[in-house]
Amino acid sequence: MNPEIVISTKHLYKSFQSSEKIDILNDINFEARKGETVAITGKSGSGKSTLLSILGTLESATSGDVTICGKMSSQSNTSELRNHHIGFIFQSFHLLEDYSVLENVLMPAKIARKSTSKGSESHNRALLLLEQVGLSHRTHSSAKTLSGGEKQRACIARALCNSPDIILADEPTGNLDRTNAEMVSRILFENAKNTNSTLILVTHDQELSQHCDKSFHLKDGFLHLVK
Amino acid sequence: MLSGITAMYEISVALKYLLPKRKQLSVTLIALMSVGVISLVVWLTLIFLSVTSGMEKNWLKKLTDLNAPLKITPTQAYYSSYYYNIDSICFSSNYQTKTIREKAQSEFTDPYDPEFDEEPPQHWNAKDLNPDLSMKDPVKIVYGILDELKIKKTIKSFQDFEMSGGLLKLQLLRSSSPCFTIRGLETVNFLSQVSYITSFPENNPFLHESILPPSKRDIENLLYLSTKNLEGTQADVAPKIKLSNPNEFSQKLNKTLAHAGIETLNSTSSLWRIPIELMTEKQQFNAFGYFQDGKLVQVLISEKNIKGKKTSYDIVEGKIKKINENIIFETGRQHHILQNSTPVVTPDPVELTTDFLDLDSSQTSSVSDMRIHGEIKIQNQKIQGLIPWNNLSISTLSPTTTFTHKPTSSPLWAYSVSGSHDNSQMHLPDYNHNDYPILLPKNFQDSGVLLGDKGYISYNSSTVSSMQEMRLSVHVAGFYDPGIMSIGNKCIIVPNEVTKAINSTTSSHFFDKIATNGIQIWLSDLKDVDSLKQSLESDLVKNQINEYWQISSYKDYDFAKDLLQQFQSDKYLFTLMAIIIITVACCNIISLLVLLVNDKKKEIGILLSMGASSKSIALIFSFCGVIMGTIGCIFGCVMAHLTLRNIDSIVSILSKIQGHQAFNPNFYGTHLPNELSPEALFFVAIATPILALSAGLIPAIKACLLKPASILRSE
Repeated sequence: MNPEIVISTKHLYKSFQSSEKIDILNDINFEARKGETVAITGKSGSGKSTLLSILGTLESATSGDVTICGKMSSQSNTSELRNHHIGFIFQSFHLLEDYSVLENVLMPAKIARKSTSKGSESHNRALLLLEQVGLSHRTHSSAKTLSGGEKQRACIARALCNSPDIILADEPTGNLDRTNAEMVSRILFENAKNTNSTLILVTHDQELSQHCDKSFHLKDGFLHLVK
Repeated sequence: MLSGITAMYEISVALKYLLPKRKQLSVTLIALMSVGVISLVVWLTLIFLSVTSGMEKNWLKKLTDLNAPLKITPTQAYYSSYYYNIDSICFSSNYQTKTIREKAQSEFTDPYDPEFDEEPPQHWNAKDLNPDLSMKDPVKIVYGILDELKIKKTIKSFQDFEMSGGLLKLQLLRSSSPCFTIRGLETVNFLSQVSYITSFPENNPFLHESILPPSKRDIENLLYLSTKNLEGTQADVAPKIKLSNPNEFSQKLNKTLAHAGIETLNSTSSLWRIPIELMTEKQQFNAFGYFQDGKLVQVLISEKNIKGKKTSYDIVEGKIKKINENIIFETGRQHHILQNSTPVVTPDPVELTTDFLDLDSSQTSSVSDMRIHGEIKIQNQKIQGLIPWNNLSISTLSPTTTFTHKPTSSPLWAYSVSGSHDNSQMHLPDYNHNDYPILLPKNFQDSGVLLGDKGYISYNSSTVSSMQEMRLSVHVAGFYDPGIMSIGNKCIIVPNEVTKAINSTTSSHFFDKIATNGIQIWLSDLKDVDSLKQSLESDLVKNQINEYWQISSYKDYDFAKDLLQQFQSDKYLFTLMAIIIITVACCNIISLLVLLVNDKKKEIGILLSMGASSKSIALIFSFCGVIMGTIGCIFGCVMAHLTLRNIDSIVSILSKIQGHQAFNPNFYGTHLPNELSPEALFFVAIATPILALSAGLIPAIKACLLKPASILRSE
């Protein structure tokens, strides 16, 4: 029996209106199952990040539906879907620089109104995640003092804090050197495997896309299944 | 800290945004400015509202202390009733109508004796009868109702009052000498004043607060007058002044000093004669001997060095000692025994401390004999004993005005006896019916009137064929603060006998008859005045005597209406102004938060990507507004509290800068109110955060409309 579909899109269109109408995404029908790793590749400006933003409910589509864990995305439930089901990893990390590493990791739990006091479930999980990504020694360091690789690992720990069903990663290794890139991708794949969560990657890295269960290529607004 | 807050992470984020950071200097500066402006406005609002409300309370207290917050006065129906008029034709009532007090004390409600008294005129109103056909007694019924209320402690006390009018003439006998103990030229000034006269309200529980304690000039005047015997104080010419005989003097002196509480006296002359005979043999003083032709003529003891001073005398430095009862001036090897006539003086100010209990009055028969038991300090050495009261004036005193039991010998001024807290009663000094004590409004002090001054009250009495001027001898027994009495500074408080004597003989009433007699009621809490008025009115209706009485509260007094309305409108106006200026101050928050939203765009995007709702983002910026408003409010409150605590010092600095009194004491009182008004505090504590929250809403709405994807992409 096939695992359940955790995220899907139906006839998804996205266009921008400037001097003329530009269609970015055309009739995207996409689905990913629980525990699957999916790569989306394409040229710069092809709309990969826009598709990822729409999948993560950060942006709305011009038309079409996005369904996450059986719930149709709408204006009223986007924040709940993001908080409970999705973990974001960005190319430029986007950590809260005025906070410590631990505070950054705990922020999704705070937003979910979970207890984050010392000894709480969330606190223990945050420490465990930091240990898993190799940042135990930087727990109380300010986020702005971390190196690029450390920042991305902290970002992964933050994305995993609320045990999301789907991890959306927008070129997670794009700003990292080879060693760090390898470490980050290893963590991401290991976590997806261990927690049976869905990992959707937007990447230029062919090696990374080959490592995924499925691979899509976005060209002229159309999504083609490569693998 | 952050991890501790789970439910409201928005607060912790807002606090983080507001923490001053070097990186965000402009935001920090604007935040500090906004908080500063709010503090300033809150401070100003609190000070103004507290002072206004304190003044309102003070004025209200002044208004109700002497006038009583509630009055029951007879109506025209009372004065035209059989009950009131029957006394005028009854032998047992001496053919005179009775006052409310007399009616209350009278044995019979109907004194009419058909066998002895003439028949009442036909046009008189009929008797008002009870169901049992006995005559209704409106006064006793009212007294009964009030007695009951007093027992229930609904009211504090009540008393009848009687008003009248007359001409007050005072003779101000003064010595031209600056020190009353030295005989100088005596002058007599006259002071005349047409005055309202009101009976002494001894049951008024607040009267003692209005009566001013005797000043040192008052006590000195009493001492001065105790040496005199004035004859003809009822005449329009200067009284004959005789010296009191020793017995009289001693008696008067003791009466004056018994409760005067004189503590210290100061030397008044440039060279004060030291009672050197009181020094002990162990003591010695550094002194300067003044020699003329080799003869010691004066010894001067001074803290200052006067050796270089130009004088026709030879000045020799030495020491004063006492050896075998002889006072000796010692210079090196030379000794000079001081004769009694050789004065030992000091140019330095001398303070004499005394408790006056040991006043040697047994040997005192005139001013020159006045010696007081006390001590002085010369060159840090004490000289104790009986010191002559020469060239000394009273410096500090604490006269007794409150007694726990009625004193056997009453002071010469009005005093209160506080048997228990609820039962304090005012008393006038003991008097005989030839000379009545009176209390004058404090403005008489400005005309130079002092305690003990004598004079008379003149009024007209009608006889069958003519008008006759009557005079009653009076003396000043104190001054009171009239507050805002309708009749202001012209009302003399006299013993009840005086008003009765004047009203019973004056043919045409000085005032509207209705206003001259009534019952005053004092309450524990002014807030009860309206409910009590209502309950009294219903009691009168229940007893069917409402047509005889009219009840008025201080809110109905014509003279108070304007003032109370003025205070109310001042308060409303400034509250409105305060809302406007607090709103303007809070508008600063809008510009700060708009800046902050722009500054924190990326963080807003990150929080949104983690699942923060738009509502949470709006809440963060609203909290920023509320936090700034609250901090400003707290600072303002603390500043206002400190200012009010030190308001007297601030006012005195302001007065010094202006060169005159910054606040007119006649209106603002001697001290500005220094209590933080709870209503004002409540107002700013509620209004400021609400207005700050409203100001924070505009940037909050801007923040929650941001699109996370576009922010994060652009960052």
